Amino acid sequence: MTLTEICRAIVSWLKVPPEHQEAATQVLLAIVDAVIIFTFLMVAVLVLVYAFRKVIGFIQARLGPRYTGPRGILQTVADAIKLLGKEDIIPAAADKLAFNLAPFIVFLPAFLVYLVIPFGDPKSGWQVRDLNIGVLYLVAITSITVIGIVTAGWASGNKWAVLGAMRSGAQLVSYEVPMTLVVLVPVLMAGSLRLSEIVENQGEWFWQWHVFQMFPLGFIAFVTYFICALAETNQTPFDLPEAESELVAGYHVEYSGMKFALFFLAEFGNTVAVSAIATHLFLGGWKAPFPFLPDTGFWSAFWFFLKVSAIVFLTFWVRGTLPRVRIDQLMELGWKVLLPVGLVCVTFVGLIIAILP
Amino acid sequence: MGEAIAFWILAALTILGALGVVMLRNLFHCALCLGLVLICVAGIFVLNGAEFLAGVQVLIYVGATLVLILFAIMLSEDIAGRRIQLVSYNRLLGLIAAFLFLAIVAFLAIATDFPAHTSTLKDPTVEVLANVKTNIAAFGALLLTKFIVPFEFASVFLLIALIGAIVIARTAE
Repeated sequence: MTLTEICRAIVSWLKVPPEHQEAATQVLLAIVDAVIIFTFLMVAVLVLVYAFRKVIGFIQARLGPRYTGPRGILQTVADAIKLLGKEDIIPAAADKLAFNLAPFIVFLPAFLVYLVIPFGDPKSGWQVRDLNIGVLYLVAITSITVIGIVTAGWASGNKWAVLGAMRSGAQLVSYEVPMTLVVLVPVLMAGSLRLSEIVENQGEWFWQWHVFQMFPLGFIAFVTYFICALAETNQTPFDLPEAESELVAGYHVEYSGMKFALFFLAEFGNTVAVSAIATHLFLGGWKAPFPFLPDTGFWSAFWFFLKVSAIVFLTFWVRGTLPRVRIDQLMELGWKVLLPVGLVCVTFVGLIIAILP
Repeated sequence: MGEAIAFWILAALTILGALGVVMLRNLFHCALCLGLVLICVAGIFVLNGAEFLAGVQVLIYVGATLVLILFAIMLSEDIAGRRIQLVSYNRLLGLIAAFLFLAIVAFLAIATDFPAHTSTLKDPTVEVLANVKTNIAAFGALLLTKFIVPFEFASVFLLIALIGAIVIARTAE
């Protein structure tokens, strides 16, 4: 029984007049979908915070995350209780309306991106909506985050917050350009913006995934995407917007309690999202690496989450080991290295597709 | 039915946001309202079957133009905090201009025969659309065949603007 059928059954059970039944089903389905995505996001962040603290704990030899409860599993709970227990302070110099609105503007895109991301084979119902502008939708929705960050920085009425917001805005806008360019590489290879078609275009064997196609163009595109994704999610070595040593905490310096938790949630939600997008665009999505392994039904979700976990682990690894870059180095890397690389990739992939039938 | 509900919600939000843009006294708040308007208009595009346009609208207008506006407000000292003057200095001329604009928009809305949103896909005169299935494919095919000259012109125009901006920034140094 699919979700649509369940919703239809509930609507008819509620004795909605027949002429409104279809509309009511659609509305109910949308609400149910939203709740499912929200739950997924919450659970993903819950697991992710635990994994993050644990991995970083190992890398930096921290004690807390490894011994809070059995195997450190209570670390997320401890973090959450700490955040919830904090006083919710609104600074006197802050612009109250914008100050309260900003965390939600940042959180909203992190939530909305999951609308199109398949969690497994869409044929088994593991995707909420298969939009035909899938990739464009992802790129467009994630670009809204900047507005929230700039609003947060400005509304705090604090010069460090403004500086952090300026840096963050500049960084996000700069890295969006090469990111969008390299995202076009798998789109060109598949000839579609629809995420399910992009995954279907990748073959059964792992060397038929986009990352190994048109070697080395696919691989370069993947690495560029990964670097841009690190920058887009403010991970070290690109966490300049919140460089503690110079900016206190960046654009969210004045936030505490639940509102800070929203920024935190959005950051981790985005980390999962960019890893999931990378999985679908370059690593064969829900497909098993070999054709003789099962990849239908629950197995598709298994392969998807395995690949996403691997990429997320990679980001934590990078975060735990690399030092922060300087702001001018960050801009130079973005505009002088990644942008030309992205342009070259797109041009050559386009040429190859145009020449080869 | 569902589409009608969505349309009315989006339309109401668009008008509220637009009123906020012109009536709020804090420039930063005005800019945020503009963001709301742009996103709601994108939603209306989706309702009309123009998903690609909606995506591009959010990507370019919200993700780039609005960010630019916010940056400009943040960088200009004393603009963001100050309350701005709302009414035009010349009220009579402003009133006349506003009414003329209203008349033009109303005339266009009444006089134009708006085609159904799928009409371009079924257009038999355009043979490049023979085997495209989606809106985006039709858009791409038309952009690189029928509308190739405006498309290329826009690209060159943007390139010139880009180089011009760099030249201006250089001489200011």
